[in-house]
Amino acid sequence: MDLKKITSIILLFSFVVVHSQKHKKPEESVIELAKKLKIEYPDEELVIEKSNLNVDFSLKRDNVSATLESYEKLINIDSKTYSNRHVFYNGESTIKNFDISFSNNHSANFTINDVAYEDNDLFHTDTRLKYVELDFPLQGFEYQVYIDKIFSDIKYFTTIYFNDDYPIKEKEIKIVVPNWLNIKFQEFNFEGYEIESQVEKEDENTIYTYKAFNLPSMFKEKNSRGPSYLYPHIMILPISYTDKGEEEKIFATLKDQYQWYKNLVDKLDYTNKPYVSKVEELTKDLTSKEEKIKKIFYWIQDNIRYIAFEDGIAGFQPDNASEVFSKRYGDCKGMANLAKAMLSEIGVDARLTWIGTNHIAYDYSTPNLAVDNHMICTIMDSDIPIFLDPTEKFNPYKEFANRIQGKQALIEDGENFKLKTVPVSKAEESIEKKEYYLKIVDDVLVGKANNHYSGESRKQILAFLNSLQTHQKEDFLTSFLEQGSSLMQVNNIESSDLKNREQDINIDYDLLVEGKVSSFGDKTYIDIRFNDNFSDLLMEDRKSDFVFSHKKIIESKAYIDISGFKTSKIMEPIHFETKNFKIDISVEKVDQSLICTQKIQILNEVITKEELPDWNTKIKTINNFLNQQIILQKA
Amino acid sequence: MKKITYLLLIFFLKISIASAQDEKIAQKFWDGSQADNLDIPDKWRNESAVILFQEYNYGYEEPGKRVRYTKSIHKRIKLLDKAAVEEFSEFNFVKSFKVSKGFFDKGGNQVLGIKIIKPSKEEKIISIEEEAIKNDKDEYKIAIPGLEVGDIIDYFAYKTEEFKSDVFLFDVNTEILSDYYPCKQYVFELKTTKDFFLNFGTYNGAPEIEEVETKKRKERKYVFVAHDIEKNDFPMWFYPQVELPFYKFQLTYGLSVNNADNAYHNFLSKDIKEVKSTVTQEDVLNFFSYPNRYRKLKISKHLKKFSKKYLKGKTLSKEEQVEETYYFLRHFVLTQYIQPTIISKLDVKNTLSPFDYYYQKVGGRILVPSTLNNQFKFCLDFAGFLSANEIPFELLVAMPKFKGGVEELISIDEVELLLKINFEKPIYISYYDKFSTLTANSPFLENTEVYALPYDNKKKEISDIYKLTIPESKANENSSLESMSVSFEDNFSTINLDTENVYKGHLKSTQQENLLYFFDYVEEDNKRFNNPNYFERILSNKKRTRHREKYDAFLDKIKKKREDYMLDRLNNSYQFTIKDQNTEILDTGRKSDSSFLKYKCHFTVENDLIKKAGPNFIFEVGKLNGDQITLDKNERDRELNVYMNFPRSYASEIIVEIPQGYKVLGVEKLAINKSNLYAEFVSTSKIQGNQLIITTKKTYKKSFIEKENWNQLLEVLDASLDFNKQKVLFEKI
Repeated sequence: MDLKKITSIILLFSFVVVHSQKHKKPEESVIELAKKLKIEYPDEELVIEKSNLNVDFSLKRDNVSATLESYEKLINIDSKTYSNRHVFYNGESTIKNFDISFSNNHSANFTINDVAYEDNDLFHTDTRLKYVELDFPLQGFEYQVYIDKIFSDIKYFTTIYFNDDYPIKEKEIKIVVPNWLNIKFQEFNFEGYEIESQVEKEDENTIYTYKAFNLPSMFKEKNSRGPSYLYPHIMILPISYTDKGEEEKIFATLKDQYQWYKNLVDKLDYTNKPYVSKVEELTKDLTSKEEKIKKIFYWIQDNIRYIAFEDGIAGFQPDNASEVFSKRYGDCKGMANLAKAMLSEIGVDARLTWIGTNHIAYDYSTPNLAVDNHMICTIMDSDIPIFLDPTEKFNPYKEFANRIQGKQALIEDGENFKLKTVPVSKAEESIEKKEYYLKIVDDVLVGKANNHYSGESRKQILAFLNSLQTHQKEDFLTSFLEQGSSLMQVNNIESSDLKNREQDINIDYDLLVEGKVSSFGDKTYIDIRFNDNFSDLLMEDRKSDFVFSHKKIIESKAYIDISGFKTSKIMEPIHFETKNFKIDISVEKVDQSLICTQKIQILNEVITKEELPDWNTKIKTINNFLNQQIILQKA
Repeated sequence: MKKITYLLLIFFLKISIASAQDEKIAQKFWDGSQADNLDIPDKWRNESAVILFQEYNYGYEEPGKRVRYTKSIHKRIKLLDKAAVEEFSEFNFVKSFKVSKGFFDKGGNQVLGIKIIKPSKEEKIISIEEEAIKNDKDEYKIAIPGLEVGDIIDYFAYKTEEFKSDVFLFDVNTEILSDYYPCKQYVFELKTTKDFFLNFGTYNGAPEIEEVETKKRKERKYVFVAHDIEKNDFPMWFYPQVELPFYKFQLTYGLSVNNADNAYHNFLSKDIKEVKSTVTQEDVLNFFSYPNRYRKLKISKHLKKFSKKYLKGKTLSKEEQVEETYYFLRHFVLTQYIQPTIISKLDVKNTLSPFDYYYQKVGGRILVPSTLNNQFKFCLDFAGFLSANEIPFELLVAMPKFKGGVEELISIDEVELLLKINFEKPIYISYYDKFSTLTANSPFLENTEVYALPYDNKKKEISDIYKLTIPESKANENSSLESMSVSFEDNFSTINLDTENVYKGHLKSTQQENLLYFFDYVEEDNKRFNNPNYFERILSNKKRTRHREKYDAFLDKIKKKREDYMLDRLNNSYQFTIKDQNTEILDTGRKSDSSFLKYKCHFTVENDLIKKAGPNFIFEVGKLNGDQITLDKNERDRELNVYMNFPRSYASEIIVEIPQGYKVLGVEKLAINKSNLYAEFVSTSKIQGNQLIITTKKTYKKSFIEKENWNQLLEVLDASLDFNKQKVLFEKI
């Protein structure tokens, strides 16, 4: 609730008295419990005291469905608290029951809202949510929430997560597997959590029970990995079911999953080809196949807008290439399919390819609909597959976006499939380098500078720059080079072609930097922190792995002419090296110049949470180094 | 079965009728008249998009005692870059909606049409039925298919609303001709039947409307066409309605033609067929001197009761009586109800019924204070009090300065009312809010010419009108002062900062809105008027305890939120990171005109602002003056006059404790003096004992600066930024 709004609400008079269940004050013992929990979880407002999930399966008309009955008891450990409890559903699932009761089991009669889910990244989705706004007026106030959800087809029931928005004291997941169902449960990220599991065999069923204790709440952190890396969960792997003595496969192997995907793409129509004339127009003056591929690939990147749709089976079914071409928009599947269709016109063996981006932790060893979330197109003209992701803007041919690197690609191959891994690029393929050549004039540094970008760094800059209005581009470039700082002034910018995605970005400009040189008495002090690459990287309160946007080398070198000055002692250089990163910081005096270097090599884009304490110590050392001024004295 | 077939038939019939109507509407907009409008002038080749044509069309009819209002917008835009394609690639719209005008509405309808014209001149009409996706709230979303750079997007939205009403004033519709994109041709068209009065004005060089003949006898039609309109970025410190061509209009419905009583409702032309383009002094006088409006004023019952209860027996001057009455109304009508309003929101099921304890019977009926909740009622109420006490006053009719002058008034809905109370030193008062003090009026009325209508206390009426200018406040009246003391700990790694902040005048009101919560001032008002607070009104112990504990739990919650807000606020005010903070409100600044908002704050900064230089330390002391305004290149190259809301000044006094064993170098650089007619930045510095004492003051002297003098303001802004860069050296002795 917006507190400020409350005070500005024009004074309304309510003549209606609602007679309903009144809030009762919690028992002393429960208040005591709430207080104890608050000591245990000082940053939390609510705790789930108990949470149960019972999962059952049933078989009807050659279809296995899953019923999930959940129960939770929430306690307010803070002062007044509000909470939104919600459950998602879509075309493949339904919510059978959503009830709230007080701690004395009397129904709380809250209104259950039912709305379409809205997400800025999705143009349209069929996902909906039912939710309730719970109001906990006092510390120790409790509610019980009952939700029953049914997945009409077991394929769409992919995972069970243990954690919640609030900490959970005790959670039990009980899965009753009937003898006719062959299913496996794969555990992820259990390490470090108090989770016990047991399997009990009964006549008709096998019962899998997981008991977890003291689960922390889920959290949001910037530059974080996806939830499948962070939280303990169970992946559901339905293999087969037996009906009237016959065994029917669900997703027994990856081939079954592929076959299911294939059935969907087999429905695609390639007979209507409105794109043929465009292919001809694009390739008519080109001779080499590679030139033609590039022309088509870049045309799709530049001219097809990415618009995400998620609607039932359409979430898995690509749009026809003719549709995407005519509409000039599509989701990843539609864009990949258009790439396949247009490239096929010039005789290229282009194929649809399913892939999970680095947001998700899985590979194809576990056949399950949660293991991929993206579609690209793969050229299979030679033994070395060439992956094309047309949703990436300003992506050069044969450079693969960081988010798919190292991930398995499931490539269509008739009745079979091919499984290939997208190559991983090295840090040195993505460079962000700045060089400054400066001299001191009246406590101001003036001179020339050069910025150089390659690889993924170049792609990101070009894509952003080219999304701006024509007249904003120059202003953006200036402000980008000035690093948004009022202490820097950039003039006379000369850049390489900022529309050419294949060429490294190279920008020369005149630079003036204020605030970095100060003179007191007969001494001059130089602040060597030209680029603030490190101050944001101290992550003392962080709970999870930190993920950089991509592997890269960030380097800055400032050459400062100090003719006429002598320097005091210069700090010893810093060199840190682990398997994930290398950092070099130094100040050298060479002839009449001071050379200030900062070089960070992100060899692997993840700093794990285990590495963070060491990382933070190093960052502190670096910050201490950079906080020291170089002292000059007139010679 | 029969029933189902019948229902289906109706359904299909409805759809087909709707589609046929839609097609007819589309034909009206896409009549071929713009077919050759494909090119843009060379001067606009580097723009993101160019509007080739835009038409605004309004219709007002009265079919069978109902009002039918139609509005359409038709735009044809050449898209020249990807950003423009992105901008026009998705549309959100509603087909049907609830009409919020009048009563007995039929529900409103909207028809949308979109087509794309390719550079080859090929036209593609987008099928809205096929492409649009509907969401829960009956809203539609459409992703425009086939849209590319170089295309022209040509779209219209046609809206119809029908409702019943007695006298009805449509909202004043104001449109500035300039847009973020340049425009080749702008067309305005308005059709009305004989039942509507039209007030219409064009300003700052916008074309005048012309009446054109129509085939229908009862219809009147007005048009204007404008060409070659440059785009505008609408920068900071700019009042578009003061400089740019614009028009505004209002229609009034439900009045019979040529009735003298019409003046009761709005400023209207005598002849309904005539457009009223200006409101004269006489019109204003007629409106406010209308029989029974400001005539034979009497004190209202609640103010009479107040006078009896609070003012009697006290020896108060007239000035003091006015002041007390103003604050009483602020409390009586507004702040006393904040506590029950909060309490009513504490329980989702609304079982607390807090207003039960507030119904006040005056003269045998329940007094609903919300009837006083507008400026007209406030002025009338207060005027009644002034008249009864024979205090001379004038009613002032004003227009906020960003809307242009009072000469540009066309509707009663634009009016802002004040009372000028003619004490020896006149005071101006206006409708209150929860923080306002007696003479705290809107800054937008300062330095504007207004109509003054003196109330003749003998004749008990308004019978005269003249113009006067409301005085402008001075920079030192709208000011802030931050007194800061700074000390170091742990070999300069921790900096302790204590501030006391004082806000005055127009700067005070913004800060009150940001900083104060109801618990800061509700009790203050209850005490002032000896009015029991919510809990003192409840007689039952049990109930009181139950309500109190919920209220306290809520208070606890929002106090924590304020702590978080304060930390964010501090971090946004300085260019360094603040870790802990503690704020205490010392004065809410609500008591009288001479009371100021005052609070103190303690916070710490770690490993920041200090750089090591051998055995010495460089201290970035300039940053303590807070974040100063920075402008990008585009903003610096300003070619528009500068309009600010009011003159103002920001001062600070920074006392830095010099750590033992160190002396300070570089103090002289902290003294900056840049002053001109429009603004000034002055800073001083001195060492006194073991303290470095710095003062700064940035003053915006004028609220209006001609574009030719923009550089003078820039000089001062740059000087304040220069101060931000200053450092001192703590040198080891």
